[in-house]
Amino acid sequence: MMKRNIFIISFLLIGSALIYFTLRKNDDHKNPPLRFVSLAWQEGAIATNRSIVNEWNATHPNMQVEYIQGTWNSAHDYLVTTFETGDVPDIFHYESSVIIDYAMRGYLTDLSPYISPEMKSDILDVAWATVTRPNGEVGGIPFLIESLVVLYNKSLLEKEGIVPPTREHPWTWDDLQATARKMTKDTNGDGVIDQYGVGFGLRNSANIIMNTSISFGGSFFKKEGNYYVVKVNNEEKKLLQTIVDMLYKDKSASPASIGETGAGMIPGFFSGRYAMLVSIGSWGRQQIVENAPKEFRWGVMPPIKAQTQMYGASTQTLSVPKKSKRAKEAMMFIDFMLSSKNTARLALNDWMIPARKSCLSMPEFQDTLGGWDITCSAVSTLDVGPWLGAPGYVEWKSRVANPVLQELFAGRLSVDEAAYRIEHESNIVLSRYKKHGEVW
Amino acid sequence: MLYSKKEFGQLQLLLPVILLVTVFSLVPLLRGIYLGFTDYRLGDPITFNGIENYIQLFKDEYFWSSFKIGMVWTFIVTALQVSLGLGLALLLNTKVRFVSFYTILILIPWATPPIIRGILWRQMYEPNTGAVNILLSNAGLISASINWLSSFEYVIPAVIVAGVWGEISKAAIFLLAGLQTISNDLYEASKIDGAGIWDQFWHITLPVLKPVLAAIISLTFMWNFNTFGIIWVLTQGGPGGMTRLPMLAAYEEGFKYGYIGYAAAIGNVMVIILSLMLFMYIRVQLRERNES
Repeated sequence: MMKRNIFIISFLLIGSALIYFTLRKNDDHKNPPLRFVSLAWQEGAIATNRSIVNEWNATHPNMQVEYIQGTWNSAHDYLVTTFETGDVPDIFHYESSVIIDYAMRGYLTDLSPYISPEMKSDILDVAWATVTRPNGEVGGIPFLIESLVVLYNKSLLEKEGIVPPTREHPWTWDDLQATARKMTKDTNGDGVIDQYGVGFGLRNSANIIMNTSISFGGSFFKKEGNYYVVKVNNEEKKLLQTIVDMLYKDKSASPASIGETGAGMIPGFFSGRYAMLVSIGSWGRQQIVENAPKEFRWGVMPPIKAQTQMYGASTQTLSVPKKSKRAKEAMMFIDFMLSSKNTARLALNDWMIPARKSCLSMPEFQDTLGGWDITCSAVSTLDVGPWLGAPGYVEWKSRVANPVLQELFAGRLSVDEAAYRIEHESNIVLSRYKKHGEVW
Repeated sequence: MLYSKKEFGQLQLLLPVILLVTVFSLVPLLRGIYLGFTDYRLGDPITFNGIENYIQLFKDEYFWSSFKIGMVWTFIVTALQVSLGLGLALLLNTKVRFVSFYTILILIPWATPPIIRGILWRQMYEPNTGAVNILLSNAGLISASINWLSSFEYVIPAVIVAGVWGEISKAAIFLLAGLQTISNDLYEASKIDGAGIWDQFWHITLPVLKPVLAAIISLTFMWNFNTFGIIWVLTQGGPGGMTRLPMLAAYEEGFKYGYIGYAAAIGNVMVIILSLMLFMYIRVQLRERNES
């Protein structure tokens, strides 16, 4: 009897659950809110995103927006699942290099017909270039530009009598290397080095290496006919060799750089273990403003010059999935969310470069405090890498570039060996995409 | 076919379970097997492509290197889990005080989900503030802190320690149950015959425990081969793919790169390899038992 009761109860429970879930959809009111997935993660940025959504909701009672908090770690799995099942958010926040991959797979609404002339002309060309396919299709609206910066500890440099570079007189990599050597020392005389010239965050360094390679005149990806090939020539090798030398020959780069992310290096920067943090995202400044000890004095350096001062850039974007049935409404919200005023708020709170020209001329972005002036003036030295839109780039980065670079910087490979492996393994990965006949 | 009234009643009661298993287990499983024979790639239509995936898999350096890592991981972790678990079970089987208290303590790591265990160990291994570095440097064993999970030399031992820790208790509990079935008379009789502790272990405990051991070894082996969560949280397969277990490789193929068909093929191959290995192991076990 007992058993039977349990079965009946569980049957009823399951049955009612099924009925509830099938009927629930019909219960919804006529105009469900637009769903907006945001990947903001810094406290200030989350607050700004939420308050912009609230402002919209206050003035648009018939077109409400629901704020959904996503995370960078799981965004890809989440989005791909929704694209496949059709239960998509109407607007989502992501990053240009992935967006382009999605666009090639046909997951995104082409936003080009919806873009207002004001938005079109106000957003920087370099930002548009990160999200536009050669046929003119636009996969997302760029609003924040991610750039790499060099941060330095003012007090430590002053103590050594070193004058930091200015926009007019930027440093070359040789200058950086020489200063790093000078700044590397054993301050308490116990025979162990406790202050390094530089710290990098090289755990997953493909992004850093790719974007920096442009200033060395390299780019890894070259187009041969209709297809891309990966070549590691002298320009690319020179960059890799410079970092390897700083790690192993000069020993002026902290060995902690090898396995850390940029964010992971920040506590050591506060404590004076590294005089300079090289190639960290500009958002890192927020962490410093927020968490640095009171007496900590720091600054931002203009882009380090190799052959040129040009660096690769990527953008953060808002996109609309193809399977969203309300692209037009979604774009109305994006228009509001990324107005000049709101873009400025988002950029200030995420400590990144705003993608709009009108924002860049605002006084907030020319402030010396927090290094905004130097960070934003680097806009003129940003470019998109030729790998943008190469079929298979996303896979290449995580399957080939990151692991091989990890081995290189851990001292398990020479630069030549790493170059050989990158070229060899690239062929394997990229050939999969050739088979699918994909072109950008 | 005609059912008696009683049978029909039973069938009715089983229906909810059958329904759930079919919808949530059987259908996805069959679909998964089928996808392994298609070229399904995210964003593309699905077409059947026979054994093409398997031909590609056979030549795939990335898969074989992760398979090798998977084997090393599975053998070492299984051996450690079972042997340490046996040790723990023997301790718990003695007449110490507060045995049930210890048993609960030992169960805690196993009751913790693998993801949480991974997060715990990641904090323990943290290079600057992690407990492992602080303990070792206070003990004077290391001079500079080690980034365990990013170092090519230490990452494998580090993840093995974390992996073994969480599952020892599983083996221990199974084996403890086995130990408790051994009658005390056997030990007492052997004592009269002058057997020492080691003799008792080798000639009584181990032989009686053998079927339980075989079962727990097979199960643990299977579970370890399919590990995903804890490694994903600890290293995501890095550095340089050193800890990319087969499950991680399949996940990356499917979700990260979008080759769902190929990922399903990896799953199919792994099931076959695992079944073959277990089949051989169990056959040897059975033969031994029949001989004795």
